[in-house]
Amino acid sequence: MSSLLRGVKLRLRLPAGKKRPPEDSVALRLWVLAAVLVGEVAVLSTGHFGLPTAVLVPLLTVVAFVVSFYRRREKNYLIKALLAVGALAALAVFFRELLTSIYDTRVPLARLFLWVQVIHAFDLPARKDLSYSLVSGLVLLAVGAVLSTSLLYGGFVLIFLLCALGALSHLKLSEARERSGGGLQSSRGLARGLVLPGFLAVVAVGFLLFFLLPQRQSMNLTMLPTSAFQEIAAGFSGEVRNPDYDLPSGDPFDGPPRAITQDSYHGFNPYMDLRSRGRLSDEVVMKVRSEETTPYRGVVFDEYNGKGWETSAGEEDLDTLTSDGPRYDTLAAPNVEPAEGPSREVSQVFHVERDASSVIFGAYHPETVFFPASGMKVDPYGSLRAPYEVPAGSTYSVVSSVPNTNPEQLRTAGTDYPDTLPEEYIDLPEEGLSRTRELAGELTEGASNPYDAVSRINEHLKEGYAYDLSIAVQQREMDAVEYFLFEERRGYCEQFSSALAVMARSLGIPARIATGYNPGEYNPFTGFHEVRAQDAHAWVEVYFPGYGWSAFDPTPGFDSTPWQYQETGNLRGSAAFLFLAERTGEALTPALGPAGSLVRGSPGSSPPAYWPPGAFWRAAAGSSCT
Amino acid sequence: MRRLLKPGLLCALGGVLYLIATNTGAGWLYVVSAGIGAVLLLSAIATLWSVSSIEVSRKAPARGVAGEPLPCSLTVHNRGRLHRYLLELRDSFGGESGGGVAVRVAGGEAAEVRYMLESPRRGVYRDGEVRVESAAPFGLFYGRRRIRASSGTTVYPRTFEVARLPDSGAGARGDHSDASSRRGSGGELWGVRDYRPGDPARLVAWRRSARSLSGHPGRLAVVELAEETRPPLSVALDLDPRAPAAAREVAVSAGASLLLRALADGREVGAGAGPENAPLPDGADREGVLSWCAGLQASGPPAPGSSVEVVPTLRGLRPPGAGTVVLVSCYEFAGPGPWMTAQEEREHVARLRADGRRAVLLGPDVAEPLELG
Repeated sequence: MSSLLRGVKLRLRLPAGKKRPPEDSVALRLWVLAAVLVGEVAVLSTGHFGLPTAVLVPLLTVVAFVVSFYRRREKNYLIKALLAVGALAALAVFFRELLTSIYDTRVPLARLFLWVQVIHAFDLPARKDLSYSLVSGLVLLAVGAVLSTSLLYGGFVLIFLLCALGALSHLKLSEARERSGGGLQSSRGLARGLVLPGFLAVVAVGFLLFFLLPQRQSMNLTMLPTSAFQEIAAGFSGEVRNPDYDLPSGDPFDGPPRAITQDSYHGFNPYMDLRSRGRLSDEVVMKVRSEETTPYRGVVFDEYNGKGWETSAGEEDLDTLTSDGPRYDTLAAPNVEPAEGPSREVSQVFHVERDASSVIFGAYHPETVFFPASGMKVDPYGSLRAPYEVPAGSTYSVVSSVPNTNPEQLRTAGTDYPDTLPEEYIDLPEEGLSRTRELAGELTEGASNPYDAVSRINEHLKEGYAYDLSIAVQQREMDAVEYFLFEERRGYCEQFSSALAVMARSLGIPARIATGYNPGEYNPFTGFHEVRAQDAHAWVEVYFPGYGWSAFDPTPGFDSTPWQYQETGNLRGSAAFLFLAERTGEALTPALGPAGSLVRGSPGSSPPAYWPPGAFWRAAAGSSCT
Repeated sequence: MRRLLKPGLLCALGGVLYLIATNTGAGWLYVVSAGIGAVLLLSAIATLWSVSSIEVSRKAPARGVAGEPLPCSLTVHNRGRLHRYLLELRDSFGGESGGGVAVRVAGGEAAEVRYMLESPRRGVYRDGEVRVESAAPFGLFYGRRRIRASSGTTVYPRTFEVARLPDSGAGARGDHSDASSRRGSGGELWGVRDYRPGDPARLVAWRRSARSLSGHPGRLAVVELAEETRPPLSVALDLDPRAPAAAREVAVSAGASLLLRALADGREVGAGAGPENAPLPDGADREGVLSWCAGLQASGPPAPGSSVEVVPTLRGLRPPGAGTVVLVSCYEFAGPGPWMTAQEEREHVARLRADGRRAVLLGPDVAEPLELG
C-alpha cells in the first residue's frame, strides 16, 4: 500500500469562491465594533449572565476585531478551523443548557448568540463580513429587548442605533469607494454632518412609528418564562409568609392594631386587620407582562370577625403540587374550587423586583403556572403559594381563565347556590352589624337579583364615602365595618371592600375579600406593568350560581367590575406619549419648581401639574390605592 | 432588484421582530421594530432628496488617444442650502465610464471628483451622461439622477509605427533600380520627345513645338514626365457596421497609421470610409487626418457587385491610376463577413491592379507592404 501511495501528493484544495477585497477602513470597523459591543452589553445588562461571561464577551470581541483587522489579507485557515471548533462547542453548551431549562430557552439562546458573535468577530476580513456582524449585533439587541425589564434598556437601543447608523454610512462609503476604484477619500464630517442628524431624525420618526404601531400584548407561547428551576424539600406548610411581618403566636386581633410597614402590604398575610393601614411606598415590587390589565390576585379572606379578615382554609385544605419541571396545572388539585361559566385565557409573566411574600400572584382563576421550584401549594380559592418567600430576581408565569361574563348573564344567575359552597361565605358576626344590615336592606330594596343588589351597594359606597389613606387608627371599640360606614365615613380600599362584602353577606349573597395588586402603570417601552408597593389593593369577589366568582370594587376611583374585559386597543401611542410626558414633567420638576411658584404664586404646587401632558396624564390615569 | 436586497432583508428582520413582539409582549422589541421602520422610511426619502439640487460639469482634455488613460474630473455643484453626502458619480464619457465619490458637498458649494478614463474609445465627444447616485444617509436605498454634462474631447485612434509604404507599381515591375530615373506621370520633367498619337494634349510642349515648326514643320513635341518618387496614397476604409467594433477600430487605426506615414513622407493623401462618412478633406494635415479618423462612423458597404473602391482617384491633375490605393477592411481583422470574403477582397485588389492602379490589401495576414510597429 505504501508503495502505491509513494509519490502521490495529497493536496487540499479548498473551493475557490469569489475573493472579497479586504476592508481597510478603520473608521468602519470601529463603528461596527461599537455597535456590536453595545448589543453585547445590552444583553449582558439583563442580569442573566455571570461575571465571567460579562467580562470575557466584550473583551474577546475587541481582541477579535483587532486580530481581524491585522489578518484581513491572510487566508487564516488555522483561525477558521479553531473558530469552527469554538462554534461547535458553543452549540454543545447551548443544547446542554437547553435540556436543563426547556421552559425558557431565552437565556441559553442569548448565550449562544453572544458567543457566536465573539467567534464570528475573529474572521471579519471584508466589508460583507462586517455587515453580517452588524446584523448579528442587531439580533443581540433584539434578544436583550426580550430579556430586559428596565426602562434603561432604551439607552442601549439609542446608542446601538447611533453606532449602527454610523456603520451603515461607512459601509456605503466603502462600497462606493470600491465601485469607483477610488482611494480612501476622507470620511471627515460624515459623523457630524450625516450620522448625527440621521440619528436624530430616526429617533423622531421611530417614536412616531412606535406610537402608531399596533402593539398586541398577547403571549402566544406554549412555554412561559421562569427563572432557574430549583429543587425544594417537601413538607413546607403553604402558609402565607411575609418577610416584613412576624406572625403573632396568639390571636392577631387581640390588642391594638399592629404597625404597618410601608414597603409591604399587610394584606399578604394569613389575616388582615381593618383597623389600621398606613401608607405604602412607591417602590417597584413587580414588573408584570400581562395580556390584559387585570388585578393580580394573591390572598383570599373568607372569615370576617368584626376586626378584620382571616382565611378559613387550613394547612390540610391546601393541595400540594409537585413537578420535575416548572410547569403546574391547578386542575390536578382536587380541593381547588372549579372555574365556572364562560372565561377567557390571560397570560401573565411576573418579574419580582423586591423580596416578597410567599404569595404567587395571578389573575383569577389560575390554571397553568410556570414556577421555578419543584413544589408549590394552592388553596381552595385558587390562590397559589410558593414554598419560600419569593426573592427579588425571580420570574414566574401564570395562565388564568378569567371569568368572561356580562351583567345580563349575572342578573339571570339566580340564588340557587350549590350545597358545596362553604357556609363561610355568608357568615357574619352575630353582633355589631345591625346598622350595616339595615343599610344593606335599604340600599337593595326592590333589587330583583343579587347582581343588581351588589351593584347598588357598590355604587353607594363609591359615591357616599371618601377615599382617604390618612385616617387615623380606629379609635372606638366597635365593628370595623360599622366604624367605617357610620363613624369615620372615609377610609381605604380594605374598608370599602369589607363594607361591600359584609353588606352582601347580610343579604345572603356569598362574598369574600381578595387582596393583591392593581395592574400598575403600563410602561409602553418595556411592555411591562410596573407594580409598586402602593398598588396593593383589596376588592370583593361575589359568587353567582353557574358563573362562579366575579370581582367588584367599591373603592372610589377604581373600576367597579375589574373582571370584565376592557378593550385597550393595540395602538398604544397615546400611552407612550403620555408616559413620556409624565416622565419629562418629573424630570423637569427641579427646574420648573421655582418658575412655577413665580408664575402661580403657589410654592407647593407640583410642576407636573402645570406641565400640560403630565397633568393630562394624571387626569386620564385616575387615582391609585395609596 | 439586487439593490433592494439589503432593505428587503432589513424589512423582513423588522417584521420578524415585530411578530415576536406580538407573541411575547416584549415592549422593547416594538421599539426596535419601529426603529428599523424609521431607518427604512428615512433612507427611502432622504436618498431622493440627496440627489436633488445637484448639477454636474465635466472637465476633460480636448484631445486624447484611444486606449490611453484620459484624466477627467467632474465638478458637483450643490445648489441646495443643506449639505449633501455620499454622492456617487458615474460618468459615461469617451466610450468608457469612470467616476468617484463626493463624500460631502456643502450647501451652495462645489466639489471636484477626479477620475481616470483608463481606456477611452476613438470618437468625438461633445457631451455625456453623468449618473449621480446617493445612498445617503444609510446606504439602503438609492436616489439617482442622470445629468448631461458637456465637454469637447476628441479621442484620436490609436496609431502604429509604419515601417514603409507600398512600393509603386513601377518598382514592383522592377525595370529600374532608381525610381527617380524612370519615366512616369509624376511632376518632374524627364525629357522632351516627339508627339505620339494618344499623348494627352496637356503634355504638348508648345514652345518647343513652335521652335520645331520653324525647323521641322509638322512635328509636335511633348514633355515626358519622370515617375513620381512619392506617389500619393489613397486609403479606402471598410467599416461595415455588421463587423465587430474592435475590428472596425483596428481598421481605422491601420488607416490612420498609413495616412500619417504618407504625410510624413511628404505624400499627398486621400481617404474615404463609405457613404456614411465624408471623405478626408483635401490638404488635410496630421491633425486633420486624426480628427477625420476620430469622427468616423460605421458605414454600410456598397451594394454587392459594385466597386468597393471608396476613393478611386485622387483629385488634381494626376491621371487615373496615379498613386496607391490601400483597402483597409475590417473583415481582414475580424474574419470573413457577409459582404465580401477574403478571397473576394483579393480578387478586387487584382482588378484594381489590372486597371493600372497600384492596389494593396491591408490585413494582419499581409506581411507586405506594412510592418506595423
